[in-house]
Amino acid sequence: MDAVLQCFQCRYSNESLRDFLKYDSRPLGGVLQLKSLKNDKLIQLIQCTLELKREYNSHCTAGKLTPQLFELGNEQLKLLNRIADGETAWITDPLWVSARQLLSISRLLDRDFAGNIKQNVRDSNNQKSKGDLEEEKYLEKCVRTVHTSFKLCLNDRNPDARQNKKWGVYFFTNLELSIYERLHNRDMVRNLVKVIQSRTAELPTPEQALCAHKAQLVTYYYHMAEFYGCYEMDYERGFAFAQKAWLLSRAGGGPQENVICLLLVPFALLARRWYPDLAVLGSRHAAVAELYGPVVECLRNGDLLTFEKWLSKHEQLLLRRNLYVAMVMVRELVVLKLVKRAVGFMGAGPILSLRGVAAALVHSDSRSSLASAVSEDALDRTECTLASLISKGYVKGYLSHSNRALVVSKTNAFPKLAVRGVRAREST
Amino acid sequence: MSLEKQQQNTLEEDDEFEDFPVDTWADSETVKEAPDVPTNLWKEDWDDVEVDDDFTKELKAELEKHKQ
Repeated sequence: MDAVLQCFQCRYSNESLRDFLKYDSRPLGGVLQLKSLKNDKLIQLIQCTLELKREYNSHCTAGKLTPQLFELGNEQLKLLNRIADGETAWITDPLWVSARQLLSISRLLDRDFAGNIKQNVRDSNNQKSKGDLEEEKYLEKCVRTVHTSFKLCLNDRNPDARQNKKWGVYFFTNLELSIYERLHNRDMVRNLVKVIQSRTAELPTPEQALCAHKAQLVTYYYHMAEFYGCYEMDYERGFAFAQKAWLLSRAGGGPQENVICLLLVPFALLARRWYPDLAVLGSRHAAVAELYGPVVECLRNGDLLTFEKWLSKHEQLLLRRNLYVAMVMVRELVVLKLVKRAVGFMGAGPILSLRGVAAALVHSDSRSSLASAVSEDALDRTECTLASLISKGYVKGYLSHSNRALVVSKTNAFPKLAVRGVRAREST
Repeated sequence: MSLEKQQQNTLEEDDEFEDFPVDTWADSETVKEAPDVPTNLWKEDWDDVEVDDDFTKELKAELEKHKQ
């Protein structure tokens, strides 16, 4: 116990302190004389933590936690927040240990709670009446306390840069982003990213702050990739973060690396028009290669029907991973490939009848054949599709509505990268 | 459970980015620097490569009917 008290007296964190804060760690040896302590906040923290351990030992098991354990864990983090107010950078370590612990308790309790509700509904066929308030999730309570830790770090005005708690900002950013992801709360993700962006000048970079914690740095990159690519549809920035996350991740591989690659592949397609070498991807991430294999094939041949079937088959997974919109954008690249191939096969110079392009689209989308007299509706749809491709810089050319023709540039009608996208990148 | 099965489960069942089991690892263990790990996942010449599968044959046949 003396080792723990010494941490607070001499302002450092070590394994003894981290262990002490955990509800399931073995009790520390030594006799604690609380009366000899003069720091009320510290006394409260020690009492709360001992109570937390007692609650776990007497009422919980590894997979079954109690709401009281959450309340004590929440109180522990609140007490640490109060202590942290007057402390230096060292306090961010015990704060993070306590915050992570609270998050793990919250996740388990929310999972149990959701399971119980399902069971109750099945048992009694009870349903909430309209107007009933939803129960607040443990994660929602948890994130409020974690956010206080975040703000303590963000707003530290200690002039000594080495001792400033700003070094801890990204640890709590990761925790908050992970909670908002679980709560499906995009607005809060956006708010948090905006706060970080607005304070970058006064914060250490993530690479500086997390250089000794690669797991946290990769996690931060992953969340940023998801934010920019899935929420903001900024595939270039999404790709840059996903690429950094992947390159810094463990060569040994694991579920985290698979999840990173799930983002990386569509973002690379959309930002750079690069598609993965399936043999290389498959050697390290077989499940990801298997998932995206048919997409790559469709991008090579312009087969819209197979792409639609793939999209429908994996709709749930893509929605859960926030990738559905990105994959709908990838569909446009399949259309582009189809148009490019149709132009090549028709071989009629720079001026093409829309009828041929419409026939290619209908065949690719439904495997049906257009009648020789193509309907005005089909031609209008084709014009809209081509207009979209031209406006995005995927095709260099223009539409002649009166002649129902597509006129493509004689040189580089299908630029490798969308013209507008390249210009946007060049201007940044 | 095989590694492949575990990976498939990860894609299909888990909704969240899990915590890493370790806090950090050596630079030499990263994808970027580990030996024998190919870091170039990408093919950039895909747009220039022509494929000749059943779909392509059907598409060509369909377009033949609509040639100007």
